[in-house]
Amino acid sequence: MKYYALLLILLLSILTPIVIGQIDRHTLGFPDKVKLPENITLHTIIISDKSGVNKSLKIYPPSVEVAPESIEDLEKLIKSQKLPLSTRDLNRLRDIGDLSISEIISRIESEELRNLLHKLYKSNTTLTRSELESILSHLKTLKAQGKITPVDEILALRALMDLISSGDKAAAQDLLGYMTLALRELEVEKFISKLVEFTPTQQLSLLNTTISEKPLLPGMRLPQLAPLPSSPHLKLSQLLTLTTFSPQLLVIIASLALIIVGVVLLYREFHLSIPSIITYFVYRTRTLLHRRSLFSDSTALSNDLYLNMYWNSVKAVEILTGVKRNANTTHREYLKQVSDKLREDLLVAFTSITKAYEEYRYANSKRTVQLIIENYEKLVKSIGTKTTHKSN
Amino acid sequence: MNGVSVSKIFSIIKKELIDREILIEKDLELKLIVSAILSRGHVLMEGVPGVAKTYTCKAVARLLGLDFKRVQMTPDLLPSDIIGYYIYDQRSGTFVLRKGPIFTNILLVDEVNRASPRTQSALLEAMQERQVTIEGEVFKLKEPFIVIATENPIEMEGVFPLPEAQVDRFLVKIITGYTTHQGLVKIAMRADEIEEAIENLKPTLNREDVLEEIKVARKVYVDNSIYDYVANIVEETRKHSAIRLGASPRAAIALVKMAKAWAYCEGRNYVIPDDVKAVAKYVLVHRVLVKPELEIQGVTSSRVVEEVLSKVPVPKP
Repeated sequence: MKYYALLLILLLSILTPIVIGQIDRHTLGFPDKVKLPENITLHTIIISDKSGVNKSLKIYPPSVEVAPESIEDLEKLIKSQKLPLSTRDLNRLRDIGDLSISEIISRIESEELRNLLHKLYKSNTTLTRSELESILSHLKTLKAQGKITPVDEILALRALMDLISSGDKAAAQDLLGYMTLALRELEVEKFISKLVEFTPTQQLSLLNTTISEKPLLPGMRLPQLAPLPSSPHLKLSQLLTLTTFSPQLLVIIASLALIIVGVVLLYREFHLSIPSIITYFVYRTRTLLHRRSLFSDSTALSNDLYLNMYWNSVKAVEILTGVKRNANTTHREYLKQVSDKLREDLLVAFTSITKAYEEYRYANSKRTVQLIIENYEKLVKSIGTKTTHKSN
Repeated sequence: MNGVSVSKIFSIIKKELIDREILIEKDLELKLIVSAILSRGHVLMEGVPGVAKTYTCKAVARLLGLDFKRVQMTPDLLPSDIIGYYIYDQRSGTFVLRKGPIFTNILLVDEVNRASPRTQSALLEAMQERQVTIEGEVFKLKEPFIVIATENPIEMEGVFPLPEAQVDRFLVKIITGYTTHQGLVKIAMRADEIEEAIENLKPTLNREDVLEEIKVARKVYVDNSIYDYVANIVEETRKHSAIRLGASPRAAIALVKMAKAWAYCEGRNYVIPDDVKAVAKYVLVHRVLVKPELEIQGVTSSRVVEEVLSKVPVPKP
C-alpha cells in the first residue's frame, strides 16, 4: 500500500502542474513556445505571446528582395500589400508615382515640411545638387527631432524628385534609395511596435532569426505579426460551469480524484496530517498560479475603502465614456483621455477624485477622504443617466 | 502630508524667463535644468549649434545668483586648464594656486566630446566626487556645483564620444532642438531685446536660497509603490530585446531624485507616477544602449524607453 501511496505522490507532482498549466493556457494543448528554425523558409509559423494569445508570424516571400529600380517599382511594392503598412499610410502613399507635386505636398502632415516644399515648388526653379543635399540634410534633422514620420519623408522625397532636373538620373536614383530606406524604417517601426507584445525571450529569438538573415536592404522581409482567431481564455471558473463533456475536463476530474485518493492514502499509510498534505499541494499550486499573475494587470482591489472608491469611479468612467484604462496609463493620463468625453459636472468630479486619490494614495494624506467620498457618489449615481457626453 | 508651494527657483525662472519670453519655447528644458539643480545632478544637453544652450545656462545662473563659467572644449585642452594648477610666483618665491573654471557653481562645458578622453575623465571625476585634487591637495567644490555639458549631434570627426560609464554620471540628457516657425519669428524679431534682457537679469535668489531649495526637494515623499514602479521601469530596460546595455542602479536613483524635484516644481511634496514618466525619458535615454544592428535600422534608445514606459503598469490600487 505504501508503494501505491508513493507512486501517487509522484503522479500528483507531475499531474498538478499539467492541470494548472492547462487551466492557465489560452487554448488547451497549444504550444507555449515555438522554437524558430534557423533557416526560415516557411511563411507562417504560430507563436503564443506572453498573455497567451496565439499569433501567426508571417515571413515575406523572397520576391520582395529586389530593390525598386524606379518609382513605378516602388509604387508596385506599396500596392502589393507585402509591407505591413497601415490603411492610413497606404492611403497616403497611394499612386505615389502618378501624383502631381501639389497633391504630394498636400498629403504631408508636417506643416514645416509642407511650407518648405511649397515654397520650393512656387519658386519654379530646378534644384541644384548642393541645394538638394542641403534639403536632404534638413530632412534628416527634422527626422532626428521626431518632427516628421517616415511617410512624410517618403512623400517629401517624391516631391523632390519632381523638383530636380529631369536629366539628373543619379540624383533621382539617390532619392529612390532614400525612399526605399524610409519604407524600410516604416516596416521596422511597425515590427518593433508589435514585438512589445512578446516575452523578452521570444523577442530575442524573433529578432535574431530575422536579423541574422541576408542583408536587410533591399530584403524587406521582416515578419508580420498578426493575431489569429482564438478561443476564449479558459479559466477555472469557466471549467466549473462547463456542461459539455470534453477530454480536458476528464483529465482535470481524474486529477482531482487522484489528489483526493492521494491525500487519503498519505493520511492512512504515513499518518501525515491532512492540513500538512493540503498545505503542500496548496503551496505547489500557488507558485504555479503566481506565474500567471506576474504579467497581468491586477484587477483585485485593496481592502482600503477610499482606494476602492477611486477604482470604482474609473470603472464608472470606463462605462460612461467607453475609454478603457490601460495598466500603463497614469491617473492623470487617463483623466486627460476622457476629459473631452465626459459631461462637464462629471469631469469636475472625476478630476477632483483623481487628485484626491493621488494625495491619499501617494502622500499618505487623510485630508482628501471627504473629497473622494463626495465625488465617488456623484460619479456612481451618474451611471444611470444617459446624457453622459458633453452637450455641444 | 499637504501640498507645498511650487519651488521658488522654478517659479522665478517661469516668471522671468518663460512668461517674459526671454527664452522662447524652452519651458521643458528650463524645468529639467531646475529639476537637475534641485537634485544636485549634472546635465548633458545635445543640440545643434545656435539653439540657445549657452543663453539658457547663463540666464539660469544669473537669476539664481550663482557663479557661472564657460569652457570651450578642444582636443588640446589639458585637465589642468579646467581644474587649475600651481604656478611659481617669482616675487614671493612660492607656488601660487591658479584655480581653474571648475571652481564655480554652474559650469557650462561646450562640446564636451571635443576634449581628449583624459580631460573628459578629469572633469567627470570632479563631477562625481565634487572635489578636485591639484598636486596631491584636495579642494572641495562650492555647492551647488552643476555641470551643464553640451554635445553636438552632427559632428562626427575630431570628437571623442563619451564612454558609457561617464555618460551615466549625467543625471539627465536633454535633447534641445529648433523652435517652431512662430517661435523662430519671435526670436528673430526680438533678438536684440532678448540679448539685452539676459545681460540685465538681476539675481532674485542667492546661493543659500538654492541650497535651501535643494534640501526641501530632498524631503519630497516617495511612496513604496513608486519605488517599485521605478525599479520595474529600470529592470524592464534590461529585459528589452533591442537593448545591449540596460539602465544601472544609478539610473534608478537618478530617476527617483528627478521625480522628486519634478514633483516639487509642480507644487507637490509627494511623487506620483506622472512625475516618474515625465522625467524617465531624459534620465534613461543616455543610459541604455541599443544593439548596433538595430541602431542602424533607426531604433533609438529614446524609442525603447518610450516602449518600456508604455509597457510597465503603474501602481495599483
